[in-house]
Amino acid sequence: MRMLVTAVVLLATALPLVAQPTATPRDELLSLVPSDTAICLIVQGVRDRSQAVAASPLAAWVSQKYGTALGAAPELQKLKDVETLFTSFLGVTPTDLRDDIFGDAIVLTYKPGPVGKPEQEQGCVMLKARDPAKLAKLVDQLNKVQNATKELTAIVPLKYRGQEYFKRAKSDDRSEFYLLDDGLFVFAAQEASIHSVIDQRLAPKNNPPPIAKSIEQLRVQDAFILCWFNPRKLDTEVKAHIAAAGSAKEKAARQQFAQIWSALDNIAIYLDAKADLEFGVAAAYRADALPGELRSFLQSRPKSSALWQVIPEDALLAIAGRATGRQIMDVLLSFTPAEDRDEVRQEIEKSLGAVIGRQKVPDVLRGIGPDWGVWVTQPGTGGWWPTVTLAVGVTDDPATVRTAVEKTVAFYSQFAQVGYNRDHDDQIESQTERPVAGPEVTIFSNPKLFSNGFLPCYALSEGHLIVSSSPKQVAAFRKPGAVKVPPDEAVVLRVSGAALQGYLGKHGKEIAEWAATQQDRPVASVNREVTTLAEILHVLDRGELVLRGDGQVLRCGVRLKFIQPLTK
Amino acid sequence: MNEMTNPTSPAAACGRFEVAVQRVLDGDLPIDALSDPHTESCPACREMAGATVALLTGLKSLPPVLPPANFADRVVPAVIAERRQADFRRSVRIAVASLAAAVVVAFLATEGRQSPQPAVASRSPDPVRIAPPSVTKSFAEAGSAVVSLTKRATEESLSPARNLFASLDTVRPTPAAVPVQTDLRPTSASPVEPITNTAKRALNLFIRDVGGFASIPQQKS
Repeated sequence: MRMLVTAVVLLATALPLVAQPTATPRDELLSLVPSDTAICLIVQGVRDRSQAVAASPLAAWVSQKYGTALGAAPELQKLKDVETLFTSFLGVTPTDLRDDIFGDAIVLTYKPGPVGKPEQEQGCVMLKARDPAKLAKLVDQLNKVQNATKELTAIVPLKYRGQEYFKRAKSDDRSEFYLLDDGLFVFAAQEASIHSVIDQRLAPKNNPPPIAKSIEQLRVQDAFILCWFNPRKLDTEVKAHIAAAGSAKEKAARQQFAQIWSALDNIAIYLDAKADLEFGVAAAYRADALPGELRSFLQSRPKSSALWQVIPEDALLAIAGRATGRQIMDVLLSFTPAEDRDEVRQEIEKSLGAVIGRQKVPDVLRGIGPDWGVWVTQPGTGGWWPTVTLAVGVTDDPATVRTAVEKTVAFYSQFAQVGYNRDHDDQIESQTERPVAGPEVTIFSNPKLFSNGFLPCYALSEGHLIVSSSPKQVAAFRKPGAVKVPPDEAVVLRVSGAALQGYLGKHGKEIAEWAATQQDRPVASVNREVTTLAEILHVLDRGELVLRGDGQVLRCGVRLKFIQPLTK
Repeated sequence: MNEMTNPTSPAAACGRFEVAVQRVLDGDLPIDALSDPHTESCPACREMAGATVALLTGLKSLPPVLPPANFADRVVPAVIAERRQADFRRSVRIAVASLAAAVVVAFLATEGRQSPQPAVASRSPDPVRIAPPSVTKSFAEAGSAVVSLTKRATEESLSPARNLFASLDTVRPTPAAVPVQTDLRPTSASPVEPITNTAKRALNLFIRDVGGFASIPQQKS
């Protein structure tokens, strides 16, 4: 019985050990990153990703289209020479390098020097090779070759806390250090960096390592390349920057940034290559520590503007978001000195108040938005200038807001009209039209000033202020419906490569003629550029700026979707 | 001894006078230095002396050139902004080049897979007997090639768009009086400067260290 109990206890003790997942090469390297590291660059999965990209339909398309030109480039010969150096003298092929040496993970760490002593910065490069023998052979051959070419004077074995590492004494009196152990390679120009890695190697392990936890929190752990920042290790630099501010305006902007910075726990810049290419920045923060003006934006999941429902899918370019006039003003003003903020607020209140009544200004600022959007679409008949449309939500409650906005827009548009007509012989005329089914649209016309289909106009309709360069767009505007299922991400900007290419194909000639006149250049030369641009855009299906988050983490990324998937 | 090397020859005297004229123009010698006896016997040098006197007199009669008011205030931020842009462009070039280098390694590897490589072992590398090329030089040349390829590809891709957008710069909106005059432009120094500066230093160190293994010469920052 006692034996049975002992066996059960032993089994129970051993099971968690068996069940514990093996550390990935990346995490193995991250466990060696010294705790005082400020910046850590991680490149992972070079082998798998480069193979997937190389086998993708997009790579086949690029190779077919540009392969001949690339193959003929003189620079490629020099690269082939380096390939010869590797294969003939270092004993590895580029495939060996990619797959067996750099293929799993590479980590670079950086620790800045103390304030005023930037030269004391430290950094190191680490990698974990899939084939330790191949790595050892490469290092050995490189040392031999550099000895033969007199670039190295000696390789000196050293020891620290029982761990062997090497010094590469160079002919220019500089030294470098490396550690090579069972596929692990650590290289640094400062001996202290190697010591820090060895200290870390001998210290008790946190599983997973802190940086691995951080990048998981940021949800960028699978990115191909990512650069992680520890904000706390850069606080001294941020404080010193405030102290060095030359003016009150600079100081206010830096102090506001410092407050945002102090609320950040982790930051990473990332690049990911899957079916689409995406690069961006991710930040983990404490919402309650953020300045009040930003807290309202960042304490919950980012939401898309409802106007995306009415923005045409084939818009050349579209930008849309959610913020009231008051929120935008508060964020902009938060980067200015306190005394300037009051001055600007008073000036706005005076100027707007003169038109709508000063007591209504706060309500109006709150009543504009939160949904807004600007989009550029193919021109209608009669011109080649693309149509630009702006729509901003206008709250009907309180009812005064709608009237106040109407008054303000009418006043400023007339103000601009009078200003122009006073100084020019040609005159801007305004007229109001009401289509059979649609809102009352105010249109400004001047055959000399507004040509090529450009006809500025505006209307207040369907709970939105719509300003456009085409009355048709204003008349066609319909109020977006409620978003029933909030998407995982909020799109802020979208560029359509296909639509842009179509636009350039249809109106490229007129655009080239106009640009040539503007720049006093030959039309043929500009025409060639337009054709090249259309060819480049042919690769891009669409580009988007997206926000993802949950009130604690925000990722802001640029996503490029190509006509063919980027990876297999 | 030829005409030029003989110190008493007319040609040598002309040479000495030309040097004197240059020094007068530089302000090293007073204008009286042009009254050289040599000019009495040499028409060419006499003409040169006359032209020099006329030039200096003309220059003196010009009103003094003073910088406009707030010249420094306008120039210094512009120079700083330009330098910052140049730094940014350089950093972007370095980052793009680094990325391009990775792509090129992957590209070469892919090429290598497609066309069978000769077995490495069969080449029996013996760096001591066969004179190897300098690793430093080879890597530096490869680095230049990657940068050059990247720059060319980037330039060819971006310049059409840049040139077209430059046309939009020439279109100025109608100058209308705007009742609210508010300056919410960002200040000249970016608040994120300490972070970008540290990141730049890190990037330089990474390149120096990684390059240092093969001793790639670095540009001074």
